[in-house]
Amino acid sequence: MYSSIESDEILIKRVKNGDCEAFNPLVERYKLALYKLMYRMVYNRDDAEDLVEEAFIKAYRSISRFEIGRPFYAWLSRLAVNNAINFLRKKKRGHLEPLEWSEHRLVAEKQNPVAMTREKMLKERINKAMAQLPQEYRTILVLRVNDELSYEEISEVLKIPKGTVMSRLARARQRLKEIFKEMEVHKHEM
Amino acid sequence: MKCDIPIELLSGYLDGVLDNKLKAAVEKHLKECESCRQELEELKRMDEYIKRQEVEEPSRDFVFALNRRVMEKIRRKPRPFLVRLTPVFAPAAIALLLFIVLINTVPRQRLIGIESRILYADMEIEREEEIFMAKPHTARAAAAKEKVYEREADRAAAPSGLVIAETEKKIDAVDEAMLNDFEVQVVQLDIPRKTVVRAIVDSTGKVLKVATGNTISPEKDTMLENRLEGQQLPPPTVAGRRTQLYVDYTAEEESND
Repeated sequence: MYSSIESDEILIKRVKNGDCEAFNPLVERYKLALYKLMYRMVYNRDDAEDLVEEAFIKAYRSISRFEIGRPFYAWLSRLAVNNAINFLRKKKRGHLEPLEWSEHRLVAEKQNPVAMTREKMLKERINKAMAQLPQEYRTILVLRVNDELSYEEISEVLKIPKGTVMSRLARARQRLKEIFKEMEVHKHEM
Repeated sequence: MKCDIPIELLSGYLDGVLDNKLKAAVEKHLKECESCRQELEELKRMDEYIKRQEVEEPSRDFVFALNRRVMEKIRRKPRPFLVRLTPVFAPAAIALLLFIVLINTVPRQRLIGIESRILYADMEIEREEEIFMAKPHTARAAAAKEKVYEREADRAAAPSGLVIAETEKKIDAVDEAMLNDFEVQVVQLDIPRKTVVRAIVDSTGKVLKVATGNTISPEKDTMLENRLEGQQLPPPTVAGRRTQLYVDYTAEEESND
């Protein structure tokens, strides 16, 4: 059994030496973060869960290529993001349907209807706006803003130069702002 | 007032990735430019929105069973490459095997080719006992020969070079009537001596193609072909079966003896 406080580096060294059980704490440590990343890319719970599982298995099978000393989560997210990009290409889902409200949120809404409705509307707008972004803009924003990866890490994950990270992030933010403005216009028209 | 500061600088400033010099320049500009301050606030608001983006809770199965599923899969040794390819190649291999078996068992119409030809000189077939002989149409062949000789007698020289006599000796091998008729047809054409005439005769005895020359690819002789094509000969038989034949005829110099 492995302690959850053992560092990524120690666990990965053990995995590299053939101890596959040392991979289990890594799955436990990063599965939720990776799920959120995948969910924000594909907007579907089942697909996101499948992509997380695939990413961990791919990571284990290519662990020999991982360089000790590098951040494991950045490497893992690169595998997962590339996998998700391929998945989206295959499904031709550049633009996604925003999520529907699940049952537990509907229950909470009943308890405090005014606040929940306002919150719900805002989040719905955010999700709609994000879903309208081109896939490469959505991915880079999620990596930077949600996952708080550095420009260097994003550059490594997406295999693009650091300068491109900066310009793509700027364009993505600009585009998101435009989408929100368009949505405001439609809201007032209605 | 619209400002021309690149959006990349504001976005980079928001992310805290500008070097000190650029950062100081942007901060100085922001103090002076209301429009850029608003733009920066807008960008911050976008980031706030992105952070508030709704993420559906993962399923209980994911939370409690993902580790087990992943570990089960990674404990299993990956199958060797060739085994993994089996589902793809096994049906292809079976199909190929069936094709080979069928091609070797199903009787098919034999195509005429160089291997089908029967040279007069080769008519003494080694496995003679296996060949069933069609009954020679001797009367018909003799009549045809006489007819030829009658015509030839009008000429100064006899049709020396005909190998009819030799053919008669070897008649045990191939349908005599068909060959004799073919000789008659060719002799009547008065072709130059020492010319090898080749013909393809189908299983009904009809002459299909005619050419001259003793090479793998004989020369097309249109005149000869026009004369002989479609001529009806007795159906050739080998080993009791009707078959297509590729026959040669050589008009050689007649020996003086």
